[in-house]
Amino acid sequence: MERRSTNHRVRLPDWLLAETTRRAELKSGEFVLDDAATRAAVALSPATISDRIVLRARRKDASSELQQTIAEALGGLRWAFGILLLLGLLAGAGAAQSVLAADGIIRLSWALMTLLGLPTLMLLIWLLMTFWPRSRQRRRQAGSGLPGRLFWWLSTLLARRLSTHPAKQQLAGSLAEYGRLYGRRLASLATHAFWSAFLLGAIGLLWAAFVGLRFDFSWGTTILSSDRLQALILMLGYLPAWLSGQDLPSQAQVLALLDQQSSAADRSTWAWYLIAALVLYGLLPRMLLMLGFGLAQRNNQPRLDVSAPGYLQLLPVLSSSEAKPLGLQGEPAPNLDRLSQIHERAEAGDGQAVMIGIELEQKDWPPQLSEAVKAQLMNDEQGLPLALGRADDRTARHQLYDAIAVLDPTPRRIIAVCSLLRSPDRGIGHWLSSLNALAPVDLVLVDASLLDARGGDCKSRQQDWAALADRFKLVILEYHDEHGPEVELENGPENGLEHGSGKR
Amino acid sequence: MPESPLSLAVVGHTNTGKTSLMRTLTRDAGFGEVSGSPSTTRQVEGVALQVDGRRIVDLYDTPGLEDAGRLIEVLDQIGGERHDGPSRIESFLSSPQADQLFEQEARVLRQLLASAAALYIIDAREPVLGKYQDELAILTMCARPVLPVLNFTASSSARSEQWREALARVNLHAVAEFDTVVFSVEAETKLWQRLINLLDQRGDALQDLIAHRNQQALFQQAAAMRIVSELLIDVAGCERTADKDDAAAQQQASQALQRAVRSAEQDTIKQLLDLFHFTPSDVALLELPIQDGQLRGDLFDQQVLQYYALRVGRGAGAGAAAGAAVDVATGGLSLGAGTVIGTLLGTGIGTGLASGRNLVDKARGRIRLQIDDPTLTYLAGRQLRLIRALQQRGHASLTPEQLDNEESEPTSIWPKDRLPNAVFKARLKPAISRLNNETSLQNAARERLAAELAQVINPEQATNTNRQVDNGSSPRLA
Repeated sequence: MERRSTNHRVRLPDWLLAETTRRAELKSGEFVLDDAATRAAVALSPATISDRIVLRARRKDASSELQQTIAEALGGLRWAFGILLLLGLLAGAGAAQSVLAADGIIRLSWALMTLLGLPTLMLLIWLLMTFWPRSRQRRRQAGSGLPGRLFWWLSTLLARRLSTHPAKQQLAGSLAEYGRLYGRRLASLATHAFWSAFLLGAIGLLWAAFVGLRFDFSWGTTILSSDRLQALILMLGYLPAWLSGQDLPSQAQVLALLDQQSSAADRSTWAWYLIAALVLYGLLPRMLLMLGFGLAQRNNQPRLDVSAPGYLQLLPVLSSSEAKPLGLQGEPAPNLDRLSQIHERAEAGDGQAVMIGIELEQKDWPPQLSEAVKAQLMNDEQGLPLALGRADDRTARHQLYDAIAVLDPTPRRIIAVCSLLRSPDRGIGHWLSSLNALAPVDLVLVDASLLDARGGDCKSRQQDWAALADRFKLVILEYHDEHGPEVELENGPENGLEHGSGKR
Repeated sequence: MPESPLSLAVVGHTNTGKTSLMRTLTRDAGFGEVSGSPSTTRQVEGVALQVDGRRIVDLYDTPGLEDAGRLIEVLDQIGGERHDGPSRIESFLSSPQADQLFEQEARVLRQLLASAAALYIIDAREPVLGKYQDELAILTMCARPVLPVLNFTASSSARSEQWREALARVNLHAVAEFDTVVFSVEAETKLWQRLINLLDQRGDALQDLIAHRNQQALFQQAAAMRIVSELLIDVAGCERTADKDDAAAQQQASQALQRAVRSAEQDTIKQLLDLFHFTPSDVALLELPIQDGQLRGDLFDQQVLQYYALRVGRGAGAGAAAGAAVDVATGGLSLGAGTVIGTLLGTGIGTGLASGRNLVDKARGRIRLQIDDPTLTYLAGRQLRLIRALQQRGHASLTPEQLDNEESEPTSIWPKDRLPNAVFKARLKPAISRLNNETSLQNAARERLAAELAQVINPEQATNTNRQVDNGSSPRLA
C-alpha cells in the first residue's frame, strides 16, 4: 500500500510501547500534548514521525514501568517459544520411542509414517491454509499452523497473567494487534520451529538408539504388491542415499526387507535410510521454512500505522517540524514615511483641469466620469477636464509629467483616474506626489465591481488608497463604478466632493 | 556529506501573494501576515522545508517591490559595466539610497543575492504592466535564476497566456502555475519540477521533497478517511433506548441521540482540521457551512432529511431500501423502519436493525433508536466534502468557499450505491460504538471496521459539487 512509505519501521518493543500508550490515551480520551515528553519529541525531533511518536511514548511518566512490562511480555514470548521447542523435542522423541519395538525389529513403513507422515501432512495443511485464495484480511489471520496459534495464545496469556501494570489490558490489546498484523509470520515461525524440534527429537532418539542398540528392519504389506512397494522404497531412498553418500539399497536388500526382515549385514543401510529420509523429507524443508520466517521476522520490523486514531491526535504537534522557522532577517523595518518622498500640494492654477489614467483595466480612453463629478467640475466653472493620456509605464509617466509641467496657465486640478484593482504602491504614490507639486491631484477610483467579481475586498482596498492619498497629500474625489450600480461607500461620492471642494 | 539547503527568495510586487505562497508551501496558515493590503510584509522572514529532519529548501519571504520604476532609473544612473548587473546592484546596495527611499527594495535584492534562485510571484489576474517588467529587469540584473510563479490562476480573470508571452519575451520560458488559494499537490509538484529544470544540480534533494509531499498527501487522505470512518462506525452503532409506549421518553432518547451524534461530528471536524493543519480560527474563513467550528445546516434538519430520504430511496438497492429489506426478511418482527413510532417520523432516527436484540426489547416493551440510513449518508457526504475542501484549500486562502450541502447525489458516496458492509456490521454491534459506551473495550473491533470502511469510501465520489473560486455574482460590499 502506498501509505506504507509514511509508516516507518520501529523495533518491536518500541512498537508495543507506542501502541500501548496510544490505546491507553484513546481509552482515557486525554491527549496531553504540552508535557515534557511531547516537548522532548518536538525538540529532539528524530527524522521520522514514527520515531517521534516512540520517543514521546518513552519519555512519558509511566513509560519505564511499561517498558519493563513489555520486556517481561516479550520475555514471556521467548519462554513460550522455548516451551514449544521443548514440547516438540519431547513429542518427537516420544514418537521415535514408540517405533522402537521391544523385539528389536523396526517396522520401517510404520516408522516413516509416524515420524515423517505426520509432519508432512501438517506441512501440506499449512501450505493449503497459506495459499488458499481468500480475502487479504482473512488470510492474515489464518494459515499460521496449530502450534503457532497455541504459541501466540500462550504468549498473550502470559503477558496478561504475568503483568501487574495497570496498562496490561492495553498491552494485551497491542499484542493482539501485533498478532493480527504480523502474527502470521511469527506463528508460522513457531509452527516450523515446533516441527523442526519434533523431527530433531525423533532423529536424535533414533540416532542414540542406533548407536547403542541393535535393530533389524522390516516392511510388511497386506494389500500392496511387492513390486510396487519395491519401486516406492527405491524411489524414496534415491535422494537420501545420494546425499548421505551411502549406496542405494540393492534389489536383494529390498526383497529381503519386504520378505521377512533385513539381514544382519543390511542393518546400517536401513538405519541410514530411515535417518536420511527423515532429515531430507522432514527436517530440511521445515528448517528452511523456519529460517525463512526467522529472517523475515528479524528483517521486517513492525510499522506504526500513524494514520490510526490516537496517533492522529499527536500529528499536529509532532509533525510541525516539516517546516522549520528561520526567523526574521535583518533590521526591523523603518517607518513607511522614511521611505517616501512627499511633496507639498500645489495651489490650484487657473487653467483647464486635466485628466490622466493610471494602470486602468479598460482599453477605451478617456473614461466616462460620473455625473456627480461632472456637475462638480461645471459648478466650479472649470469645464470638463482635458483628457491628457494614460500613464501605464515609465516613459508615459515622464511624458505626462513633462507635458503638465509646461502647461500655462497651470491647471486647476489633475484628475487621476485609478483602478481599485491595483494595490496602491509607493511607485504610484511618488509619481502622483510629484504631480501634486505641479497642480493639486484628485483621485477618481474606478472598477469596484471588477474587484468585487475577483473576490477582492473593496472596502479594504479603498482604505489602502485612502491611506496612500493621506500619506502623499492627495485627495480622493470619488469612488466611481461605471460597471456596476452606484454603491454607497464609506468615503462616498458626496463625502469626497465636499472634502475635495473644501480643500480648494 | 549532507547538501546545504537550497535557498530561495520569494519576491514580487507588493500584494501578489508572496506570504500566501509561503503559507501554502509550509502548510502553515499562521506564517507571516497576510492581508489584501500592500506592504504587509516589511521584513525578510525565512522558513526551512524539511524532509525527515533534513533541510531541503530555505524559503525567504521578502517585502513587496513597490517602486521598481524609479529604482531602475537609479541603477541606470549608477552606470558601470552595462553587462555586469550584479556589480551595479552591489554599488546601489552600498549607496545611501539603499537605506532610504529604496530600503524595502534593497532588502529584497540583498536576499536575492544571498539566495540560489528567486520565485517571482505574479498575480495572474493583473495585466502585464510596465512596473512588473521593470521589476523583472531589476531581478535579472542579480544574475540569479528566476522562476516566475503565476498565482491566482484558478481565477476566471487570470491572464496566464498574456503573462507567459510577456515572460518569454524576457527569456523566462520556464513558468510555474501555482494557485495559493486553490491548492493541489500536482501543482506543487510541477513548481518544484520547474525549479529542478532551472537549477539542474539540486535535483535529488528536490525530488525527495516532491516524493515526501506526495506521500504526505496520500497519508492525509488515508488518515482523513480513517477519521471519518471512525465517526461513521460510531454513529451507525449509536443507539438510545426508550419505553415503547412513552412518547416523551422517546423524544428524550431521540434528542440524546442527536446530541451524541452532533458532538461526535464536532470532534471529527476538529480532527480533520488538525490533520490538514488548519485551526478552528481558519474555519471562520472557510465558509464551508461551518460556524464556530460547527457545521451549519443542522444534521437533523427535516427538510434536508426528507430530501435525502427521497434521493436515497430512489436508487435500486439503495441504503434505505436495504434497511427496509431487513424488516421484510424478519417479517416485520424487528420493529424496523416500517413501524417507526409516529413521534420519530422525519427526525432522522429509526428503530435499529439489531433484530435479535429487538425481539428481546420488544418483549420488554422497549424500543431501540438508531440514526437512520439517509442521515448517515448525509453525514458521510458532508464529511467527505469537507475533506475535499480541506485538501484543495491553500493555507493562504482568505476568500470564502462556496460549498453546497444539498447538491450532490447522496448515493454516490457509497460504493455500489449501498451502505457498505462495515456500516451494517456496526449497526448490529452497538457495543463497539464509543457513543454508547465511552470506555468501550472493543476498540480493536471498531478500528477494524473503520479500517475496512476507510478502504471503500472515497472523497472523489463526493465531489460533484462545483467549486466556485471566483464567483462573479453576489456583490459583497459593506
